Amino acid sequence: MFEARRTRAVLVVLLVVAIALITIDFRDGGTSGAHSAGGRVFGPVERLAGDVTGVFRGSSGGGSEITKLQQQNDQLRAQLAQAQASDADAAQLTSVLHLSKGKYKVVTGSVIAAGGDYSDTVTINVGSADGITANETVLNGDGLVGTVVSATAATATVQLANDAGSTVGVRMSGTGQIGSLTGSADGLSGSAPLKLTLFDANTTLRPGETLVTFGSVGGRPYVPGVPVGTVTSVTTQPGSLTPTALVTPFVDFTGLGVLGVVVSK
Amino acid sequence: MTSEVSIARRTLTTAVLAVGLFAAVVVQLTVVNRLPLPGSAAPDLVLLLVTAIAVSTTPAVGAVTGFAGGLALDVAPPAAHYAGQYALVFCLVGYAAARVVRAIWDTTGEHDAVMSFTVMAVATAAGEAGKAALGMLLSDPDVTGAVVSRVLPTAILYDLIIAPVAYWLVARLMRGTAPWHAAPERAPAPAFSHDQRLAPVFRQASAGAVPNLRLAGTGQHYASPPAVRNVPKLRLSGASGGSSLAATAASAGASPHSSATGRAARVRFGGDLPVRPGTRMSQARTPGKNWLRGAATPAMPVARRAARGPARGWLRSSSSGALAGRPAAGSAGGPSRGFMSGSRAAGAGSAIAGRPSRSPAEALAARSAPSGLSALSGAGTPLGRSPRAGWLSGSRSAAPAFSTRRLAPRAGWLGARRPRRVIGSGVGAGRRPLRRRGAGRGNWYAASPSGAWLRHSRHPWRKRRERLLRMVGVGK
Repeated sequence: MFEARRTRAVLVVLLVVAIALITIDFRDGGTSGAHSAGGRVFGPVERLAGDVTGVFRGSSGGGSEITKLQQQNDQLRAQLAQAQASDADAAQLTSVLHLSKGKYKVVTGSVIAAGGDYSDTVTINVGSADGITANETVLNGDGLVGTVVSATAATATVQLANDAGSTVGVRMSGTGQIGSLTGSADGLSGSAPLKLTLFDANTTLRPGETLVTFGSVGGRPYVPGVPVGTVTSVTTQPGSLTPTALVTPFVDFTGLGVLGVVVSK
Repeated sequence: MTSEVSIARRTLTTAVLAVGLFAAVVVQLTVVNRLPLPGSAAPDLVLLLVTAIAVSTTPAVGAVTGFAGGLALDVAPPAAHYAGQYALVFCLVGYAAARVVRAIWDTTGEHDAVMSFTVMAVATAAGEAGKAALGMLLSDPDVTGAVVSRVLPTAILYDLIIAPVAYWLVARLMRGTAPWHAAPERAPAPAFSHDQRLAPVFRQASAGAVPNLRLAGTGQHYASPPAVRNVPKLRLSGASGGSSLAATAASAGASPHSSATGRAARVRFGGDLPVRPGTRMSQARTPGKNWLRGAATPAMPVARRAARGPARGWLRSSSSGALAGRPAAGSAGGPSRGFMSGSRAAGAGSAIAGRPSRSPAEALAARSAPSGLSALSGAGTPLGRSPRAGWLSGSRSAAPAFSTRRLAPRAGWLGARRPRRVIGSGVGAGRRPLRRRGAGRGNWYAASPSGAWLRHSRHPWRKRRERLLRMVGVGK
């Protein structure tokens, strides 16, 4: 009798606490103190576990030479993006895209943890101690990966570009038309087709065109010129003013290993 | 010594479980979620561990474990959902799983691995569904109907594949500390666990009638014998003797008038059947359901009158009649006119026929007689329907034993234990024997008399009705 009553009291208290946590986090938009506290607790442990599993995985810790080459590749990719962006109409880009003239600095890290079934997020083993803050572009040797949504001292959480909650401003590499790219919620994690919506109604989309990032103000959350993917199919929906298309990303989101974070200078 | 060992064992088990839960969270995030499994889903090790622990322990432990594991999944770095989502779901799942196992164990007494594993599997599937449902409820952009319909079956499938391993690990760890292992006294006689619950009910129900009857094998809690009440002996006619029913009823009513009581106490259970000379009908029948009613005929109509409400002088009457004891009760009023007049009045059921104009004092005395028998029998339906009118005076003045039991007697506590009597059942008492059960509208639980009956009856309500009609100018 008393045990059952106490059990019920415990259950009620726990449920109330859980609902309160949800409420607070909902109000803060998913960035309440609970997440940072959890990051402080679990971050180092995950980093350690990531190092341990990296040995078996072979991607990050298997050979230092491979890691070094991948980091170099990331660096070169970022520089190439910047060079291509500079080769275009520099004055126009500067005025339109607010392109920062400085050189990108890339901090590389390895993926140590991944989100659950419904979230497309990963954790990398570099954090604010390495200069990473929120809203910074994450890329790898293939192209755009995502953006940093939160960072603790030792880890940073990256929201992948195929997450349903992410929206990337993109530009057609050939025509220069701009649009927005959102992750599709029902996309398979492997080859998630992203949804492209162009802003110009008169543009004709053709499969095979490549997309690069449009860039944000101050390079946050996306620096310009990072390749994103290719248009695979045009699906203009009836009733829609603007053309839409499905985009296959360059990055394989299931096989993420070493990622580079473009830190602002 | 054994308790110390078990305490140490429990502490160790708790520590191991906590570490295991933490490790499960880390492994889930760093290894399992990164496995390139087909179907874009992964098993949830934390959920499996929570349900496995829950079915092996108590509901409280299940709830706490679920909350802790879910909260860890909520705040560990790659988590993108709101903090508290998984804590809520896992807490509920852990509690429910443990509760179901406990309920099955309580009802059947069985506890085997198959049952536990089945509950665990169902709880795990429910947990996966709960995660998806709460995500959709909070309008998580990642959790849409299409995603859930694709991911959820795969996730449940992976969970069920891993579930035996998780269950085996936890059961291995919890061996010896589970409540069914720690409660060996419940093990030998599990078949009576349901009867044990019924035992107090049965005991209360049978306390007066069959005081020596017990359920076999109901354990040590049954050691104290029930309080044996005095089973009244029913003297059928020529009432004499201390605790007999007739004497009780008569003492409340009109005991000094021996001639009247003598006739009144000649109980006919047959009601209105003609009395055959030389036959003892009352002996032929078992003193069954209506034995109280039959004996208490003198008190009944009076009590009904008095039960119209807490009438004038009720307090005085109860003190004079009941407190003064039986001799005083007799002096409160004699057998009134027409009390025994007519053949119908002699019948037990024709309570309305004889309407003695007795004072409320006597009625209350009858109601609150210390032996309780006339009180149980005498006051008829109105008391049963509005027992609040006199319960205070009755219990305070004459039956203090009732008031000491509970501070505030529930409504109807007095009326509940007397055999109810339907108001309408006395109509046409000459034609319809009372003891026919289920005869037409004469159920004992029928509450209020019909209007047609009231119009033609001599029930006290008839007068009330006529008075009301006269007041509004309708009646004659």
